[in-house]
Amino acid sequence: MFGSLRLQRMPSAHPGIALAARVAALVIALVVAGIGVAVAGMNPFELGGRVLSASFGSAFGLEDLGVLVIPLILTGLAVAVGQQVGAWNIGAEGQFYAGAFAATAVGLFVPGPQWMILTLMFIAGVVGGAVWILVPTLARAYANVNELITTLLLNFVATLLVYYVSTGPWRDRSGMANSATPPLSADVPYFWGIVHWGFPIAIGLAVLVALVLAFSKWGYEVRLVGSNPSAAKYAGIPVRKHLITVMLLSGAIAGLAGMLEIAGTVHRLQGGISNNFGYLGIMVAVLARGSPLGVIFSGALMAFILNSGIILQTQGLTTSVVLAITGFILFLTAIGDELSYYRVVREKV
Amino acid sequence: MDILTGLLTTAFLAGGVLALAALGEVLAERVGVVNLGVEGLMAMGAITGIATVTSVPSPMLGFLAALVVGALFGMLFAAATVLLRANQVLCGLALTLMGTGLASTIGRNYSGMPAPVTFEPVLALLSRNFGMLEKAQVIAAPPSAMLPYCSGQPQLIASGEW
Repeated sequence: MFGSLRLQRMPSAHPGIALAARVAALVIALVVAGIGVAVAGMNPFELGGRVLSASFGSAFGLEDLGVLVIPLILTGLAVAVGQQVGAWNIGAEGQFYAGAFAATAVGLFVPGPQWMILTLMFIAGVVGGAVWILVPTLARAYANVNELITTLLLNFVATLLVYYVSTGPWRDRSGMANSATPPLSADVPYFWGIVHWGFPIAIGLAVLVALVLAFSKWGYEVRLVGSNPSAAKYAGIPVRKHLITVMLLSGAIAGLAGMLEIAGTVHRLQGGISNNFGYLGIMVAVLARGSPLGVIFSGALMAFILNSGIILQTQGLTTSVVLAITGFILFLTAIGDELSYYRVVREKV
Repeated sequence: MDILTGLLTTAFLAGGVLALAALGEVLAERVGVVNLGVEGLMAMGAITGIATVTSVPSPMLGFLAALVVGALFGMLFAAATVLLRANQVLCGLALTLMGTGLASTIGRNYSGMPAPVTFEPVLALLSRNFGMLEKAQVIAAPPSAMLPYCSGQPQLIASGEW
């Protein structure tokens, strides 16, 4: 007899099955979206072809992707780094704004040569992001306050702060832009086309963090704290110290993303500048399964999805449709990821 | 209407909505699920409500329809996170994107349109039914008038006898 079939959860997912689940999720989501588009009276294959040719068919398309991928890799890295130590940083959005805010303060009000201002802006962005996560970090480390909530709540504070300064005290009074600050005095130089030096910085940082976490004693201890805090404590590892350091690092990386975005891409501070990069960073990190090296690839995938959305908007689809499709893809991906841990086994009777 | 009156009115109106959303979230947290998709559920409920009362002028029907749609999306979330045990944070954020995206897609035709029918303000309802009309000034009442509101006896405030 064959016996009955049963689902068994495996301790780890087979890489091939995991990849297949990802692809299946993407395909199902695109088919459903395609049916929706067809019902709305558009040709999904033609739209798909346009997206591909506009993204990869020209240097301009690739440059657009390159610009988008910088903040996504960095905010994804920020969240992934937090996960390594067992902390959920949902506040990358706020730290992004805080970094942008601090860097703008330097760019607007500090006189000096270009290289000096850029260096100061860099430092300001990093410090701004770290300061923004400081209170949630200390609250988690000393009072065990859930950082999921505290980091999230500070997002709204940072978002509104940036709205306030860019439409209020710091607004451009020359009449060129009403709801933004004047252009900053220093720009991150271009690396390739319109892609600035943030691109190699973001990838380099992700690789560096991955190497340090994988091969240093510090990285080993951090990973141990993340996977089992009690065991780490028993082994004499300073759990609290690692938690604080890594969470501050996470905020600093998100702040750097904000600094690079204003100094490299937008060149002035304005409300809504983050484009939800902070929240998208959470998805980038989860898609990479918390791997710092993986965020480079999942960041690229997310950049492609976002860029496809921008292209689709020029083809008559609205932002909200694109948003819904993105959500659907991620929803199915989350399910597919979990299902890849299961396998069908045959029970002998 | 001085500044304080306006401020308090807004606080009461916005606070009620937040409290409802928070109540939903608390229920989920009670069973150990973090539902970051509340934003999406709210958006879907809002568009369902407005779409329903636009076609059928009954606020109660809009209310019920919004409940049903919210429950349906909640079921989708529960199926993914509880039955299949998919990542709660990712599913929640995905639900927020899906909900807000879908709601604003459907809602494009309704945007900027005032609702044809609404629920009667609580105060008007109370005054008509209990004959406490003229002096009913909830918000303009002194701070002590806020206490019964907190203790769940709004009809006392409506009397305006403070």
